[in-house]
Amino acid sequence: MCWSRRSLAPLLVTLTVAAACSPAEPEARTFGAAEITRGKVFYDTNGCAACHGRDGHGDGQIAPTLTPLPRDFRGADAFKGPRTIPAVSSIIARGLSAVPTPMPAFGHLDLETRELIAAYVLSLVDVDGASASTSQQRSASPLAAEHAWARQPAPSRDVTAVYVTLINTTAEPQRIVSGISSLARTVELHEMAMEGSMMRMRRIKEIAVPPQGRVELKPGGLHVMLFGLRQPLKVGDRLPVTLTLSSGATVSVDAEVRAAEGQQ
Amino acid sequence: MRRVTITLLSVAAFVAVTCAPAPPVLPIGGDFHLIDHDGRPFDSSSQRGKVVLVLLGYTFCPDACPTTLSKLSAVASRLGRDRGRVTTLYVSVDPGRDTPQVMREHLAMFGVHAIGLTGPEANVAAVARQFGAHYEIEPAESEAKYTVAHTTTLFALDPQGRTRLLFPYEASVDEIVDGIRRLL
Repeated sequence: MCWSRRSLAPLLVTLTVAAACSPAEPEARTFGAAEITRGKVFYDTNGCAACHGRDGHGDGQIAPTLTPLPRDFRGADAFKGPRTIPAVSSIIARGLSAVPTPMPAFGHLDLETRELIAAYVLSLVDVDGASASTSQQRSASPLAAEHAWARQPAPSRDVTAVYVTLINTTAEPQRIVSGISSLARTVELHEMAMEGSMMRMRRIKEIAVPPQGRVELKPGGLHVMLFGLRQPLKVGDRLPVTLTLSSGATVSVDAEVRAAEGQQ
Repeated sequence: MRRVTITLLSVAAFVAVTCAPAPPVLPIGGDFHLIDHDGRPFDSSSQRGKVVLVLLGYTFCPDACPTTLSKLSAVASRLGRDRGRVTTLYVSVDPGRDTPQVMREHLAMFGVHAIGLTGPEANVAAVARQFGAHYEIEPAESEAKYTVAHTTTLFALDPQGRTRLLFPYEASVDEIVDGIRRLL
Protein backbone atom coordinates (compact mmCIF):
# COMPACT_ATOMS: atom_id res chain seq x y z
CA MET A 1 0.00 0.00 0.00
CA CYS A 2 2.63 2.40 1.14
CA TRP A 3 5.09 1.04 -1.39
CA SER A 4 2.73 1.46 -4.32
CA ARG A 5 2.23 5.09 -3.43
CA ARG A 6 5.97 5.68 -3.29
CA SER A 7 6.51 3.98 -6.63
CA LEU A 8 4.21 6.53 -8.23
CA ALA A 9 6.38 9.39 -7.10
CA PRO A 10 9.26 9.09 -9.60
CA LEU A 11 6.76 9.05 -12.43
CA LEU A 12 5.09 12.13 -11.05
CA VAL A 13 8.42 13.95 -10.84
CA THR A 14 9.23 13.04 -14.41
CA LEU A 15 5.93 14.45 -15.60
CA THR A 16 6.31 17.63 -13.60
CA VAL A 17 9.77 18.28 -14.94
CA ALA A 18 8.62 17.76 -18.50
CA ALA A 19 5.80 20.23 -18.00
CA ALA A 20 8.00 22.84 -16.40
CA CYS A 21 10.81 22.88 -18.91
CA SER A 22 10.59 25.79 -21.25
CA PRO A 23 11.07 25.26 -25.00
CA ALA A 24 14.27 27.30 -24.77
CA GLU A 25 15.96 24.60 -22.72
CA PRO A 26 18.31 22.50 -24.83
CA GLU A 27 17.08 19.19 -23.48
CA ALA A 28 14.39 18.12 -21.04
CA ARG A 29 16.10 15.94 -18.49
CA THR A 30 14.17 13.10 -17.03
CA PHE A 31 14.49 12.17 -13.41
CA GLY A 32 13.74 8.59 -12.55
CA ALA A 33 14.49 6.28 -9.64
CA ALA A 34 18.25 6.32 -10.27
CA GLU A 35 18.39 10.14 -10.13
CA ILE A 36 16.24 10.21 -7.02
CA THR A 37 18.63 7.76 -5.35
CA ARG A 38 21.59 9.96 -6.32
CA GLY A 39 19.69 12.99 -5.10
CA LYS A 40 19.23 11.31 -1.72
CA VAL A 41 23.01 10.85 -1.49
CA PHE A 42 23.59 14.56 -2.16
CA TYR A 43 20.79 15.40 0.30
CA ASP A 44 22.64 13.42 2.96
CA THR A 45 26.14 14.70 2.19
CA ASN A 46 25.27 18.40 1.99
CA GLY A 47 23.66 18.73 5.40
CA CYS A 48 20.02 18.96 4.31
CA ALA A 49 19.03 16.37 6.93
CA ALA A 50 20.23 18.55 9.82
CA CYS A 51 17.04 20.58 9.46
CA HIS A 52 14.78 18.64 7.11
CA GLY A 53 15.36 15.27 8.75
CA ARG A 54 16.85 12.06 7.46
CA ASP A 55 13.74 11.29 5.42
CA GLY A 56 12.59 14.85 4.74
CA HIS A 57 9.96 14.80 7.45
CA GLY A 58 11.05 18.16 8.84
CA ASP A 59 12.42 16.52 11.99
CA GLY A 60 16.16 17.10 11.66
CA GLN A 61 18.48 17.42 14.62
CA ILE A 62 18.23 21.21 14.84
CA ALA A 63 14.68 21.46 13.49
CA PRO A 64 13.11 22.22 16.89
CA THR A 65 15.29 25.32 17.21
CA LEU A 66 14.02 26.84 13.96
CA THR A 67 11.12 29.20 13.34
CA PRO A 68 9.18 28.34 11.37
CA LEU A 69 9.84 24.62 11.60
CA PRO A 70 11.26 23.01 8.46
CA ARG A 71 8.54 21.65 6.20
CA ASP A 72 7.57 18.03 6.11
CA PHE A 73 8.12 17.37 2.41
CA ARG A 74 5.32 14.81 2.42
CA GLY A 75 2.76 17.55 2.95
CA ALA A 76 0.84 18.85 -0.04
CA ASP A 77 1.31 22.38 1.31
CA ALA A 78 5.02 21.95 1.96
CA PHE A 79 6.01 23.84 -1.18
CA LYS A 80 5.10 27.50 -1.41
CA GLY A 81 6.23 27.73 -5.00
CA PRO A 82 5.72 25.39 -7.94
CA ARG A 83 6.44 21.74 -7.27
CA THR A 84 8.94 21.51 -10.08
CA ILE A 85 12.62 20.63 -10.21
CA PRO A 86 13.74 24.04 -11.58
CA ALA A 87 11.71 25.88 -8.90
CA VAL A 88 13.02 23.75 -6.04
CA SER A 89 16.56 23.79 -7.42
CA SER A 90 16.36 27.57 -7.53
CA ILE A 91 15.21 27.73 -3.89
CA ILE A 92 18.16 25.51 -2.92
CA ALA A 93 20.48 27.96 -4.71
CA ARG A 94 19.01 31.17 -3.28
CA GLY A 95 17.56 30.11 0.05
CA LEU A 96 14.32 31.44 1.47
CA SER A 97 15.62 34.18 3.72
CA ALA A 98 13.40 36.79 2.07
CA VAL A 99 10.20 34.97 3.13
CA PRO A 100 11.66 34.86 5.86
CA THR A 101 12.64 31.36 6.89
CA PRO A 102 15.99 29.99 8.10
CA MET A 103 16.52 28.13 4.78
CA PRO A 104 20.02 29.18 3.75
CA ALA A 105 21.31 29.50 0.18
CA PHE A 106 23.26 26.56 -1.21
CA GLY A 107 24.53 28.45 -4.23
CA HIS A 108 27.85 26.66 -4.01
CA LEU A 109 26.22 23.45 -5.26
CA ASP A 110 26.29 23.01 -9.01
CA LEU A 111 23.08 22.87 -11.01
CA GLU A 112 23.08 19.12 -11.45
CA THR A 113 23.53 18.46 -7.74
CA ARG A 114 20.72 20.87 -6.90
CA GLU A 115 18.40 19.29 -9.44
CA LEU A 116 19.09 15.81 -8.12
CA ILE A 117 18.38 16.95 -4.57
CA ALA A 118 15.19 18.62 -5.84
CA ALA A 119 14.17 15.38 -7.54
CA TYR A 120 14.65 13.47 -4.29
CA VAL A 121 12.74 16.05 -2.26
CA LEU A 122 9.83 16.13 -4.72
CA SER A 123 9.68 12.32 -4.71
CA LEU A 124 8.71 12.51 -1.05
CA VAL A 125 5.44 14.34 -1.68
CA ASP A 126 2.59 12.20 -0.50
CA VAL A 127 0.21 12.23 -3.46
CA ASP A 128 -2.76 11.52 -1.20
CA GLY A 129 -1.89 14.63 0.81
CA ALA A 130 -2.43 12.54 3.91
CA SER A 131 0.10 14.45 5.98
CA ALA A 132 -1.00 17.92 4.88
CA SER A 133 -3.02 18.50 8.02
CA THR A 134 -0.05 17.53 10.20
CA SER A 135 2.14 20.14 8.65
CA GLN A 136 -0.54 22.77 9.18
CA GLN A 137 -0.83 21.96 12.87
CA ARG A 138 2.92 22.25 13.25
CA SER A 139 2.85 25.90 12.31
CA ALA A 140 0.93 27.13 15.35
CA SER A 141 1.36 25.07 18.49
CA PRO A 142 -1.29 25.53 21.17
CA LEU A 143 1.50 25.24 23.75
CA ALA A 144 4.49 27.47 24.27
CA ALA A 145 7.67 26.14 25.89
CA GLU A 146 9.87 28.26 28.17
CA HIS A 147 12.97 27.82 30.33
CA ALA A 148 13.82 24.40 28.94
CA TRP A 149 16.93 22.72 30.31
CA ALA A 150 18.39 19.27 30.60
CA ARG A 151 20.67 17.80 33.18
CA GLN A 152 24.11 16.89 31.93
CA PRO A 153 24.25 13.08 32.01
CA ALA A 154 27.03 11.17 33.76
CA PRO A 155 29.74 9.91 31.38
CA SER A 156 28.63 6.30 31.64
CA ARG A 157 24.92 7.09 31.29
CA ASP A 158 22.92 7.67 28.13
CA VAL A 159 19.91 8.88 30.09
CA THR A 160 18.83 12.37 31.11
CA ALA A 161 15.82 14.40 32.18
CA VAL A 162 14.44 17.51 30.48
CA TYR A 163 12.57 20.22 32.39
CA VAL A 164 10.41 22.91 30.80
CA THR A 165 7.53 25.24 31.56
CA LEU A 166 4.59 24.62 29.21
CA ILE A 167 2.07 27.41 28.66
CA ASN A 168 -1.33 26.72 27.17
CA THR A 169 -2.40 29.72 25.10
CA THR A 170 -5.76 28.25 24.13
CA ALA A 171 -9.12 27.94 25.87
CA GLU A 172 -8.97 24.14 25.66
CA PRO A 173 -7.07 21.73 27.89
CA GLN A 174 -4.00 20.34 26.08
CA ARG A 175 -2.60 16.90 26.73
CA ILE A 176 0.97 15.88 25.91
CA VAL A 177 1.04 12.20 25.07
CA SER A 178 4.48 11.48 23.62
CA GLY A 179 7.78 12.91 22.50
CA ILE A 180 10.67 12.38 20.12
CA SER A 181 14.21 13.68 19.95
CA SER A 182 16.74 13.35 17.19
CA LEU A 183 19.39 12.88 19.89
CA ALA A 184 17.70 10.08 21.84
CA ARG A 185 16.35 6.64 21.10
CA THR A 186 13.27 7.00 23.29
CA VAL A 187 11.43 9.84 25.00
CA GLU A 188 9.09 9.11 27.91
CA LEU A 189 6.98 11.19 30.27
CA HIS A 190 7.80 10.54 33.92
CA GLU A 191 6.72 11.66 37.31
CA MET A 192 8.39 11.59 40.70
CA ALA A 193 6.02 11.14 43.56
CA MET A 194 6.70 11.21 47.28
CA GLU A 195 4.83 8.70 49.40
CA GLY A 196 5.75 9.54 52.95
CA SER A 197 9.53 9.60 52.85
CA MET A 198 9.66 7.25 49.84
CA MET A 199 10.37 8.61 46.38
CA ARG A 200 8.85 6.70 43.53
CA MET A 201 9.41 7.27 39.84
CA ARG A 202 6.86 6.18 37.30
CA ARG A 203 6.13 6.52 33.66
CA ILE A 204 2.92 8.42 32.95
CA LYS A 205 0.70 8.42 29.86
CA GLU A 206 0.13 12.13 29.58
CA ILE A 207 0.82 15.57 30.99
CA ALA A 208 -2.22 17.84 30.95
CA VAL A 209 -1.91 21.62 30.69
CA PRO A 210 -5.11 23.46 31.72
CA PRO A 211 -6.74 26.12 29.47
CA GLN A 212 -4.82 29.42 29.68
CA GLY A 213 -2.71 27.71 32.34
CA ARG A 214 0.82 26.43 32.73
CA VAL A 215 2.60 23.34 34.00
CA GLU A 216 6.15 23.43 35.25
CA LEU A 217 8.27 20.33 34.69
CA LYS A 218 10.98 20.45 37.38
CA PRO A 219 13.31 18.28 39.44
CA GLY A 220 11.46 16.07 41.86
CA GLY A 221 8.22 16.28 39.87
CA LEU A 222 7.14 15.91 36.26
CA HIS A 223 9.89 15.50 33.71
CA VAL A 224 10.60 14.28 30.21
CA MET A 225 13.03 11.38 30.28
CA LEU A 226 15.36 10.63 27.39
CA PHE A 227 16.91 7.18 26.93
CA GLY A 228 19.63 6.13 24.52
CA LEU A 229 21.32 9.51 24.01
CA ARG A 230 23.16 9.36 20.69
CA GLN A 231 26.10 11.52 21.73
CA PRO A 232 27.75 12.82 24.89
CA LEU A 233 26.31 16.15 26.02
CA LYS A 234 28.40 19.05 27.27
CA VAL A 235 27.20 22.00 29.30
CA GLY A 236 25.78 24.57 26.90
CA ASP A 237 24.77 22.02 24.23
CA ARG A 238 21.22 22.15 22.92
CA LEU A 239 18.97 19.13 23.22
CA PRO A 240 15.92 19.30 20.94
CA VAL A 241 12.73 17.48 21.92
CA THR A 242 9.42 17.56 20.08
CA LEU A 243 6.40 16.83 22.26
CA THR A 244 3.20 15.60 20.64
CA LEU A 245 -0.26 16.49 21.91
CA SER A 246 -3.34 14.28 21.80
CA SER A 247 -4.63 16.49 18.96
CA GLY A 248 -1.57 15.63 16.86
CA ALA A 249 -0.14 19.13 17.22
CA THR A 250 3.44 19.42 18.42
CA VAL A 251 5.50 21.72 20.58
CA SER A 252 9.22 22.14 20.10
CA VAL A 253 11.41 22.23 23.17
CA ASP A 254 15.01 23.34 22.88
CA ALA A 255 16.67 22.38 26.15
CA GLU A 256 19.98 23.85 27.24
CA VAL A 257 22.29 21.31 28.87
CA ARG A 258 23.30 22.48 32.33
CA ALA A 259 25.85 21.25 34.84
CA ALA A 260 24.75 18.60 37.28
CA GLU A 261 24.67 21.00 40.21
CA GLY A 262 23.27 23.85 38.16
CA GLN A 263 19.60 23.36 38.75
CA GLN A 264 17.57 26.31 39.98
CA MET B 1 4.89 0.30 59.96
CA ARG B 2 8.56 1.01 59.44
CA ARG B 3 7.68 3.95 57.24
CA VAL B 4 5.38 5.36 59.90
CA THR B 5 8.19 5.00 62.42
CA ILE B 6 10.67 6.78 60.23
CA THR B 7 8.20 9.57 59.52
CA LEU B 8 7.62 10.12 63.22
CA LEU B 9 11.35 10.04 63.88
CA SER B 10 11.86 12.54 61.08
CA VAL B 11 9.41 14.96 62.58
CA ALA B 12 10.86 14.53 66.08
CA ALA B 13 14.44 14.92 64.91
CA PHE B 14 13.61 17.83 62.67
CA VAL B 15 11.91 19.66 65.50
CA ALA B 16 14.97 18.84 67.59
CA VAL B 17 17.26 20.60 65.11
CA THR B 18 15.39 23.83 65.36
CA CYS B 19 14.86 23.90 69.15
CA ALA B 20 17.07 21.71 71.31
CA PRO B 21 20.84 22.15 71.60
CA ALA B 22 21.72 18.42 71.68
CA PRO B 23 19.85 16.19 69.24
CA PRO B 24 18.84 12.87 70.82
CA VAL B 25 20.55 9.58 69.93
CA LEU B 26 18.12 7.70 67.70
CA PRO B 27 17.65 3.93 67.94
CA ILE B 28 18.62 3.26 64.32
CA GLY B 29 21.83 2.79 62.39
CA GLY B 30 25.03 1.11 63.51
CA ASP B 31 28.16 0.06 61.68
CA PHE B 32 28.07 -1.74 58.34
CA HIS B 33 30.30 -3.18 55.64
CA LEU B 34 29.98 -2.54 51.91
CA ILE B 35 32.22 -2.00 48.85
CA ASP B 36 33.38 1.55 48.06
CA HIS B 37 33.51 3.26 44.65
CA ASP B 38 37.12 2.13 44.19
CA GLY B 39 36.06 -1.48 44.65
CA ARG B 40 37.62 -1.76 48.13
CA PRO B 41 35.89 -3.10 51.24
CA PHE B 42 34.43 -0.30 53.34
CA ASP B 43 33.79 -0.36 57.08
CA SER B 44 31.68 2.52 58.37
CA SER B 45 33.55 2.50 61.70
CA SER B 46 36.54 3.93 59.77
CA GLN B 47 34.74 7.30 59.82
CA ARG B 48 34.82 7.81 63.60
CA GLY B 49 35.61 11.41 64.47
CA LYS B 50 33.62 12.77 61.57
CA VAL B 51 30.01 13.67 61.12
CA VAL B 52 28.65 11.13 58.63
CA LEU B 53 25.71 11.70 56.29
CA VAL B 54 24.09 8.55 54.92
CA LEU B 55 21.68 8.52 52.02
CA LEU B 56 20.18 5.89 49.77
CA GLY B 57 19.95 6.38 46.03
CA TYR B 58 20.80 5.03 42.63
CA THR B 59 22.64 6.65 39.79
CA PHE B 60 20.27 5.61 37.01
CA CYS B 61 17.66 7.94 38.44
CA PRO B 62 18.25 11.26 36.67
CA ASP B 63 15.88 13.25 38.81
CA ALA B 64 15.51 12.84 42.58
CA CYS B 65 18.98 11.64 43.52
CA PRO B 66 20.78 14.40 41.59
CA THR B 67 18.57 16.89 43.41
CA THR B 68 19.82 15.61 46.75
CA LEU B 69 23.44 15.40 45.55
CA SER B 70 23.24 18.97 44.26
CA LYS B 71 21.98 20.05 47.65
CA LEU B 72 24.84 18.23 49.38
CA SER B 73 27.29 19.91 47.06
CA ALA B 74 25.92 23.27 48.25
CA VAL B 75 26.09 22.08 51.88
CA ALA B 76 29.78 21.25 51.42
CA SER B 77 30.59 24.74 50.12
CA ARG B 78 28.66 26.32 52.98
CA LEU B 79 30.62 24.28 55.54
CA GLY B 80 33.89 25.84 54.39
CA ARG B 81 36.82 24.58 56.45
CA ASP B 82 34.59 22.17 58.37
CA ARG B 83 33.85 20.16 55.24
CA GLY B 84 36.86 17.97 55.98
CA ARG B 85 35.14 16.84 59.16
CA VAL B 86 32.08 15.59 57.31
CA THR B 87 31.78 12.43 55.19
CA THR B 88 28.88 11.60 52.92
CA LEU B 89 28.07 7.95 52.28
CA TYR B 90 25.92 7.35 49.22
CA VAL B 91 24.56 3.81 49.44
CA SER B 92 23.27 2.46 46.12
CA VAL B 93 19.97 0.60 46.28
CA ASP B 94 20.59 -0.56 42.70
CA PRO B 95 23.70 -2.75 43.03
CA GLY B 96 22.73 -4.48 39.77
CA ARG B 97 23.50 -1.35 37.72
CA ASP B 98 25.69 0.62 40.09
CA THR B 99 29.16 -0.84 39.83
CA PRO B 100 31.95 0.92 41.75
CA GLN B 101 33.08 2.60 38.51
CA VAL B 102 29.61 3.93 37.73
CA MET B 103 29.35 5.28 41.27
CA ARG B 104 32.75 6.95 41.01
CA GLU B 105 31.92 8.74 37.74
CA HIS B 106 28.53 9.79 39.01
CA LEU B 107 29.85 11.34 42.21
CA ALA B 108 32.74 13.04 40.41
CA MET B 109 30.20 14.80 38.22
CA PHE B 110 28.46 16.36 41.17
CA GLY B 111 31.68 17.44 42.84
CA VAL B 112 30.41 15.88 46.05
CA HIS B 113 33.12 14.41 48.27
CA ALA B 114 30.99 11.39 48.92
CA ILE B 115 31.97 7.76 49.19
CA GLY B 116 29.82 5.72 46.84
CA LEU B 117 28.91 2.38 48.37
CA THR B 118 27.53 -0.70 46.74
CA GLY B 119 27.73 -4.42 47.41
CA PRO B 120 25.79 -7.65 47.27
CA GLU B 121 22.06 -7.07 47.38
CA ALA B 122 21.78 -8.78 50.76
CA ASN B 123 24.32 -6.41 52.35
CA VAL B 124 22.60 -3.34 50.91
CA ALA B 125 19.26 -4.62 52.18
CA ALA B 126 20.79 -5.12 55.64
CA VAL B 127 22.06 -1.52 55.75
CA ALA B 128 18.63 -0.20 54.75
CA ARG B 129 17.02 -2.31 57.50
CA GLN B 130 19.49 -1.00 60.10
CA PHE B 131 18.41 2.55 59.32
CA GLY B 132 14.71 1.72 59.14
CA ALA B 133 14.86 2.72 55.49
CA HIS B 134 13.07 0.99 52.69
CA TYR B 135 13.47 0.37 48.99
CA GLU B 136 11.58 -1.59 46.38
CA ILE B 137 12.76 -2.63 42.93
CA GLU B 138 9.77 -2.08 40.66
CA PRO B 139 9.50 -3.42 37.10
CA ALA B 140 8.56 -0.53 34.81
CA GLU B 141 6.95 -0.38 31.38
CA SER B 142 9.73 1.93 30.36
CA GLU B 143 13.18 1.83 28.84
CA ALA B 144 14.41 2.07 32.40
CA LYS B 145 13.26 -1.61 32.70
CA TYR B 146 12.92 -1.11 36.43
CA THR B 147 12.98 1.73 38.88
CA VAL B 148 13.82 1.70 42.56
CA ALA B 149 11.51 3.44 44.97
CA HIS B 150 13.49 4.35 48.07
CA THR B 151 13.55 6.32 51.28
CA THR B 152 14.91 9.81 50.64
CA THR B 153 15.68 10.67 54.25
CA LEU B 154 19.23 11.88 54.91
CA PHE B 155 20.67 10.34 58.09
CA ALA B 156 23.24 12.31 60.11
CA LEU B 157 25.59 10.41 62.43
CA ASP B 158 27.69 12.08 65.11
CA PRO B 159 31.49 11.56 65.36
CA GLN B 160 30.82 8.48 67.56
CA GLY B 161 28.78 6.86 64.78
CA ARG B 162 25.43 7.31 66.49
CA THR B 163 22.44 8.39 64.40
CA ARG B 164 21.34 11.81 65.67
CA LEU B 165 19.40 13.64 62.97
CA LEU B 166 17.13 12.81 60.06
CA PHE B 167 16.60 15.33 57.31
CA PRO B 168 13.55 14.97 55.09
CA TYR B 169 13.86 15.26 51.30
CA GLU B 170 12.58 18.85 51.47
CA ALA B 171 15.19 20.01 54.01
CA SER B 172 16.99 23.14 52.87
CA VAL B 173 20.75 23.62 52.58
CA ASP B 174 20.61 25.93 55.63
CA GLU B 175 18.79 23.37 57.73
CA ILE B 176 21.30 20.65 56.84
CA VAL B 177 24.29 22.93 57.51
CA ASP B 178 22.83 23.97 60.90
CA GLY B 179 22.21 20.34 61.83
CA ILE B 180 25.75 19.29 60.91
CA ARG B 181 27.25 22.15 62.96
CA ARG B 182 25.34 20.93 66.01
CA LEU B 183 27.03 17.55 65.69
CA LEU B 184 30.57 18.75 65.00
